[in-house]
Amino acid sequence: MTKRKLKLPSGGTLDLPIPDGFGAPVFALNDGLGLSPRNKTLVVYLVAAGIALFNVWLMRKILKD
Amino acid sequence: MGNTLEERVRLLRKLCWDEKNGVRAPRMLYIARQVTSHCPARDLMCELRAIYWFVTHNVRYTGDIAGVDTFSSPLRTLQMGGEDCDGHTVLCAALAILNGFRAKARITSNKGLTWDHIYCMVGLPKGRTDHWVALDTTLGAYRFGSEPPRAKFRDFMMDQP
Repeated sequence: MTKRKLKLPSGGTLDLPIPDGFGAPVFALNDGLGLSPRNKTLVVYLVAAGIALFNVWLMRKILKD
Repeated sequence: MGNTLEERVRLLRKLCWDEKNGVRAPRMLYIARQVTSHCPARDLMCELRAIYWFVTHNVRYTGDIAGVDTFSSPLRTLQMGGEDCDGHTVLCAALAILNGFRAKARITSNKGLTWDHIYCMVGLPKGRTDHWVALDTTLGAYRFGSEPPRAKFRDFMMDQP
């Protein structure tokens, strides 16, 4: 885990851990998720479309068999 | 989302009071107490100066991603080490609140046409608002108590979620 050394007014320092992985950066308006609200909606639509396509494929396969 | 001034302030206040990365996070309380630990008890100006010093020396003033107004919670701002005026405001407000002060965000307009800047105002004495001290940490390390020139301003309390 990465650490950042913070300077204190007293002259000392304080180690602040920075969590690795998803959620660490601050690139979204909502903080921390790494996706803007518009992109989050897009991801939801893409996943829904994927599930729908899979269902169609499965139905056709079942009907063929 | 977050288009009007009120909505943006609501979002900033929510980030300030965030459970994992804001006022409600134990790590933030620990940091806030460490920042003012060298001050004698009840030396309120020492505590405010310590908060100002801490933010100006640990968080560089930098811009957002072009065309995107990004907001950040206090702990994230400290972890990333750089933020623009809204990130500085949320961090200063969180540190002040965690040390017992009341805080508000002052949003200013340079020429009266658009809202351009935001900074933290802290009430004195603790828990009251008899007198306000400006903590505009984007001005640099030696401008404690200073406010930039403005045509008009609006204040929003930050000391409740």
